[in-house]
Amino acid sequence: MAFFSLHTPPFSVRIDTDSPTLFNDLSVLYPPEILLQSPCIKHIYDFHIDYKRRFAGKSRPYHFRTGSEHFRMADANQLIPTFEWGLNWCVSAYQQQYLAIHAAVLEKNGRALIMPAPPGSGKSTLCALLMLRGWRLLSDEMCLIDPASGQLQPYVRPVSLKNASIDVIEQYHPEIKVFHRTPDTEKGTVAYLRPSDSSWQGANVCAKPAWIVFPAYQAAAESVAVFTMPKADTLLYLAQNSFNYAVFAAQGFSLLSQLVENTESYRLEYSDTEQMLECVEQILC
Amino acid sequence: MLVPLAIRCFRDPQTFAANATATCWTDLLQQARSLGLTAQLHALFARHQLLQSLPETVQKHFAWGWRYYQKQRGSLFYELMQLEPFLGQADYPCLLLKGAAYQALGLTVSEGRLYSDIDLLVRRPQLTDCKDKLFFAGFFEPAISAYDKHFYLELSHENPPLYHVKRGTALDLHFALFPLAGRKKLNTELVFASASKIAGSCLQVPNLSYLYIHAAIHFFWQEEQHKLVKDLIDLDLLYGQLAEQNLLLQLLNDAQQFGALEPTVNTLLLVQSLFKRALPAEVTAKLVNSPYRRDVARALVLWQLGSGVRARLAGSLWYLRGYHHKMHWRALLRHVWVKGKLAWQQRHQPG
Repeated sequence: MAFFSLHTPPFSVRIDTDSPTLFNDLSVLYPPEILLQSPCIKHIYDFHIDYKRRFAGKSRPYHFRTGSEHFRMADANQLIPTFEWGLNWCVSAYQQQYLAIHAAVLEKNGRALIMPAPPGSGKSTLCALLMLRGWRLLSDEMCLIDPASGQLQPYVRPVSLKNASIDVIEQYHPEIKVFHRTPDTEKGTVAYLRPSDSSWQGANVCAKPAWIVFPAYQAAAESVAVFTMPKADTLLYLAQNSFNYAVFAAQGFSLLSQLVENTESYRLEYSDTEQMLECVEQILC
Repeated sequence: MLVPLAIRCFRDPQTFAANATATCWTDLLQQARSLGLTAQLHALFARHQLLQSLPETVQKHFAWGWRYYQKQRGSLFYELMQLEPFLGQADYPCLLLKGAAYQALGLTVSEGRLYSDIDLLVRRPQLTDCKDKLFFAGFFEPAISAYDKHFYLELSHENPPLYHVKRGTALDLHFALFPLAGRKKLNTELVFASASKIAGSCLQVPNLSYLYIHAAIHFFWQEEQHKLVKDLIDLDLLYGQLAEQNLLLQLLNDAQQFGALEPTVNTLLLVQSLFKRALPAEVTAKLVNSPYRRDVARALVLWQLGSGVRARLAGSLWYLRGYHHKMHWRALLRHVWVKGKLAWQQRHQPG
């Protein structure tokens, strides 16, 4: 396997690797119309990724690079997590088309829910569970705001689950398969969930932002508690968690102001996942 | 010889755009991103009124790069405005160099060009006073070892880098254009003599000749290999403006008086051969007969633009050659000895 390509709207990637397993490992996460065995000759790719061993030898690590920029090295058993993180790095570091915020985004009935939150807050767990309850996944990692329309652009990719959240998903949905469970990464054990069919089908369909929810898992807290967030606090938090707010300058401020003005913001503290899900759907839908 | 895509593009954007395949564009976008050239490509195609005819994905990437450049340009002008009240009190000339100077003069080379720091030149006796003024503007010098400080002030051509305490902006305060350890006998006073004031500002800029000479020195008498393509493109764009204004003979004259004819002659020859520029006959005659032609050094540059063993070998030789220029062998030996000794002492100190 030398070249293959990944066409996850709105970005396409050409991958050059000497791993004999990477393509097959990715093919359980991405459908065949997204992951192509060879790049299209007539397509101009947004990113070229070089994911190879620099020296011969089975114990040698793979180097994830784009151009002359090195992202990270990965042992053969950690190829998938490093690939997924590397792809996020490419987009967050270089794209300037959309105002990008570190957040999960889902949609139901044409209205989108944005969930910005730090690691450990239960964002990915909540995102995966809502997707499995019929919400359309736009992204579990990156909220892309189109500056022209203010709408949210999907960037559908596998949902990354970490540590305890893997067990939570398996407990609530034993019928759902979790792929590539990888222990001992720098983020602990990670595993991946395939986006739902409706998420892939809507990969080119933008959504109108309606709610911003800051989830916070707190084992010792009430089963679920909802607070309205002050709009100024929401704006500041979004700006701090944006990958390119500074690059968008005044337009970035204006976009975030509009977003916060036109949406409802909540902080959601919970210790009981089931009750929290019901609460979310009750409040939002 | 395989000429990098970015150079082929700057050489003749019209032919490039007409013949480029999708794979070619993908590779160009990749190279441009690595070299920080995306916004410069946007500017290049805009100057040639070709932007709208490019494939949609290419336009999209150029727009990404341009957005980032606009933010950087805004930050640069903001920083310069912040310096004004402090350097305005100086009764000596403060010259902008490199990217900041290109931008202040609105040169073609500045269009889409990213910068990593602000370069300022003052005369050596005014270095301390200028540093004091920059201190009150919020710039500080991080602590470094006594030897490193000695290295910067006695062997190099600049003060250790200064950083803004709040914004993190990096500022290089130069007192010469080239490391003193290179013993090149460059007449820095001529740079000050050539300088002119920027309208409405206390800052000055060297004339176009000296901006080219400075770029040529840092290209031809140095050891770095990762910026060769980017630096060559800078040189070509500066050359273009000199040629437009019929200043090429003046350039050679200035370079001779300054003491940097070798880098100037050889970079002009590289621009001529790589970018296929037709130099005026009288300039070509001077270059052909120049005793400062360095054919082997230019061959090393060309080989490094390729790939494989020859490129790596050329890179190694270029590295050695660069240090030979930057540091006289006695200074280099002493430097290696002292740094080695300090590193050994640090590793073996008790506790």
